[in-house]
Amino acid sequence: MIPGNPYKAIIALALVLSVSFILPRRTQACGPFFTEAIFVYSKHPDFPLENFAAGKLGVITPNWARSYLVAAYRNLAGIPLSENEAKAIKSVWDDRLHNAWESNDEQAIKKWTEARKQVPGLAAATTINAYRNREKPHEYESFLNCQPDAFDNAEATLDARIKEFGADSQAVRSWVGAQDTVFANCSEGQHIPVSAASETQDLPPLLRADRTYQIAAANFYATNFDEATKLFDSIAQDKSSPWRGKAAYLAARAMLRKGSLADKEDDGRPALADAETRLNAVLKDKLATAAHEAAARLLNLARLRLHPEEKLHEIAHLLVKKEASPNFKQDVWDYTVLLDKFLGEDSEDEQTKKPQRPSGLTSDDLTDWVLTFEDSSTAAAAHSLDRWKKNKSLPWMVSAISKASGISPEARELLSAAASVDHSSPAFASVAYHSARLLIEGNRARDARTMLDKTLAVDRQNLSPSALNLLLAQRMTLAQNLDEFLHSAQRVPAGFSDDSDGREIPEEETSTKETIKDARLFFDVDAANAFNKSMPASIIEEAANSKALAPNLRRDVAQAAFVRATMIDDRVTANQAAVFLQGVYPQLKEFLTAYLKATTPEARRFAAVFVSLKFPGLRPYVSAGIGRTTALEEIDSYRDNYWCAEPPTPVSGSGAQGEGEEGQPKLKPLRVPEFLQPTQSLAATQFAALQALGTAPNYFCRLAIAWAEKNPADPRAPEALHLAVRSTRYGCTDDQTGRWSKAAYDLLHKQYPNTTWAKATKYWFK
Amino acid sequence: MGASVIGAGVTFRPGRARSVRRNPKAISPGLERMPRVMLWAWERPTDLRFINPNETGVAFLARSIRLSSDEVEVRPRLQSLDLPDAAMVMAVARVEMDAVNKPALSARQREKLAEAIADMAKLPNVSNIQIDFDATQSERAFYRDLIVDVRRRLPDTVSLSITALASWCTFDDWISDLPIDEAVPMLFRMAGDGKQIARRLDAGDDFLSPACRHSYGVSTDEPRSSLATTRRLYVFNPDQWTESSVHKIVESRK
Repeated sequence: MIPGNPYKAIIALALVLSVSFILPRRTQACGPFFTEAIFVYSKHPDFPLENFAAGKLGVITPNWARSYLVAAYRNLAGIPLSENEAKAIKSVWDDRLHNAWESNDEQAIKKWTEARKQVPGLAAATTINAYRNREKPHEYESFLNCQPDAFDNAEATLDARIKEFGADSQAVRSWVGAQDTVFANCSEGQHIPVSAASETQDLPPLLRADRTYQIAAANFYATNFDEATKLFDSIAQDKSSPWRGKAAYLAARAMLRKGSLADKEDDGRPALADAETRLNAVLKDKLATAAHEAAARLLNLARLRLHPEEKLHEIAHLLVKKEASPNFKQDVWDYTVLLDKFLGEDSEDEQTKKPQRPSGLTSDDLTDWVLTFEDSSTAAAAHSLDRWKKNKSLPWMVSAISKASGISPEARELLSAAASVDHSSPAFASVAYHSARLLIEGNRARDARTMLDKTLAVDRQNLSPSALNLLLAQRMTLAQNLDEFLHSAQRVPAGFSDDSDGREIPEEETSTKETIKDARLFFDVDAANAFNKSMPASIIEEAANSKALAPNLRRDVAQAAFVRATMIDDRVTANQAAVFLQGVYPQLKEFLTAYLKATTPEARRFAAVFVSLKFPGLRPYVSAGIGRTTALEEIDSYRDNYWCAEPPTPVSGSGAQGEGEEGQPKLKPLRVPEFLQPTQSLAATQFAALQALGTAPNYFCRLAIAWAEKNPADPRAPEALHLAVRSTRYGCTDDQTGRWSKAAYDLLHKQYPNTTWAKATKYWFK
Repeated sequence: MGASVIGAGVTFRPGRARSVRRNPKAISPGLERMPRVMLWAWERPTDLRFINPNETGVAFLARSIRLSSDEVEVRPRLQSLDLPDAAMVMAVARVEMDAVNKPALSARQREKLAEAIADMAKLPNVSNIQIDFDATQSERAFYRDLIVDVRRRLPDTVSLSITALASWCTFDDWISDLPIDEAVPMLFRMAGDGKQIARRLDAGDDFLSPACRHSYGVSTDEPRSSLATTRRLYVFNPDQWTESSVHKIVESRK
């Protein structure tokens, strides 16, 4: 049987698909994968996506997929999605985010195979594979030849024939035999059932008509499209055939498939044009009403290929009208795929061929807005402004303010317009975020602070988590004191994901809970950077004592303050941090007491190194995101032990701009919070001093060696040498590490040859 | 006397005696014949008619396989792949897990999956196949048995390659005793201690697992220096392949 709805499988062949939603993916991380806190979703809006479809747009982002921008446009334009439309577009997002496999061919095959068992005495069914390999030079490509509907239709026909002739009748057995032959073509070969006349003279007329139809269908699946068309045409003329009503449609379908499978796009156009003509005729034929729905879908397909630009605008006009599209999901799907076809892929390779962009592509407002909004050029900014000035519409206002600079002449006018946007408007979060940005860029910090404080006080509950975090990030840079800073630095992540495929899909809540335990608030990259690069150790210590901070963050900040202060010889800060740490990490008490009791700078430094060697999780840095999840005293299996010279930075977050070279995060320039500006010189000196000490294992080896040489009788000395060598294996290393590892190893074995520490140190590491 | 070691002493899985076990130090003649540069052609329309088949081969995604509940869903390649007549090819199967309907990882599922993978050897001119499966810790036993099963189904003339997380090739080696011809260490989009592994490679160190010492897997947007030119380079491109991007890679290996 030939299916009635060939739509999606053919479109896969008919259009050049965007890689953003085809499966599978090898473009992203190669693992291992860890749970990451996502503070601001960058690939799509916040979950649940139903909220977005319903108009809670958050801060609309140009790098979201275009299907999100379609929903954003509708909401901004005052044409909210109906319940059905919201469901339909959510279904597009789900399919694409979860790489939905488009057909359920295997289930359909299973059902058919089961149905076939109703007929007694048949040989077991051979395995059916719905996909067929193409011929050379396309021998490595396949297409979904037999679609689920084919098996459904076969099952329905079999039921009808059994009802009429009986399951154990020769007629039904003959029908099933022919149908087996038809389906043998699904995956390969040329298998055509013998004609009814050749088989037997006894077949009832209905079965004879079936056989003619089965022969046409077999030719269709065997890719003999011209023959199949001819046979379907003749069935269409046969007034006695039960298949007459859909035969003309099937002939058109054969032509459509012929055109879609042509070696070159141009070679397929005549067949596609033929299919278009035939389908128009079917739709005018009152006798073929049963095939009208399927024919309309096929005609849509033919037109997508033959007249893509015309079709794009046609769909765009439907998409912007409430309930105007009879199949909203399919239209959103086709619209975005057509845009992909016209625009090509984003590529950093200058040699990558971009398709020629048709001059009239932006002639409808939706397409103009989508393409302008996602464009970061100055021309797009100017065009947005121009469009907004002309039509004063909300979509164009959002686009204009998103692209404007705070020092541009239009900033004031945009800010004024933004101020009149209602708090319940779908544009509100975008407008608030960009208003604050314009004010900050325009050196109006006080106004920005007032505006943000008001928004955060009044509208906090209505903002999406990502939007809230974006506003908090802005507010953090305007902090006038530590308390303000801490209130906006600690944030609730918008979600948690291992982001193994780059799509920011939230992981299961139970997995997240296992990782984060009871913690709720974390630092994003911008906040961690402020601590790590712009804050003197004494202020970090002060932060650790602030009750405004969540307990998990206080612990992290306190250990950073302690380790950092010991490294830069800030004794007062280190002592204060040590006292606090004793309270929150009892396991550190013995070692911190030793530190506090040490009387010389060397002794203090060694005591600090010794505690760091015993507790591989200590580091002079505050962590961004979830941070290290292994217990402080345990070695992390993935070498998140003994710090690197440079603080670690995850790729995501409001302080990052995605990936840079070698998959490392590309950071936004650090904007120092206002209250830290007077201490910047001190912070910079301290940070430089930390960096100069290098990676932790090298630092440990150096100090452990120096201490052991001067204090050979200290029982901690051989253990420190052993642990220092261990740190060169499990910690962060550089090209000097081998030298230091060997030096510590040699001294341990030379000076303490018979100790358990020397015996336990069998290797040095580079 | 001490010794310089990368990751020495890390737990190794004891080698398991299997009739299908291959010597990981030896590489099969089929794989040996493949060009030193292999371009990954993923599920997107790909035109590589311009490549010189003597110096560049193509590892094309031939099967996308998803494990879902107790089912194995197999999709052949649906996107175009244009090659010169004499192109040397390797068929790749990408295995993914259904995040919603967690796979049972049953014996039945493994058999069906092994059959689908081994079936790629029937494709024209395919005598090398590769499995791309980022197995998590809990999926390793299943993957191990799968590889043994696939190997059993393949003729001896067909080589079996797998992609490997870089950590599998270093401190987290669980692959050395697998019946494979090579494991391609994936040196891109590395999480965890990827930077450390890259630094050590740059310093001239090598992978612990012998299976990982035949090739590298890199991406055009994360160039790597200090890679032995004697080893085969598999290259992923997040963009479309162009003559210039291929030329650059080939020249870099000379």
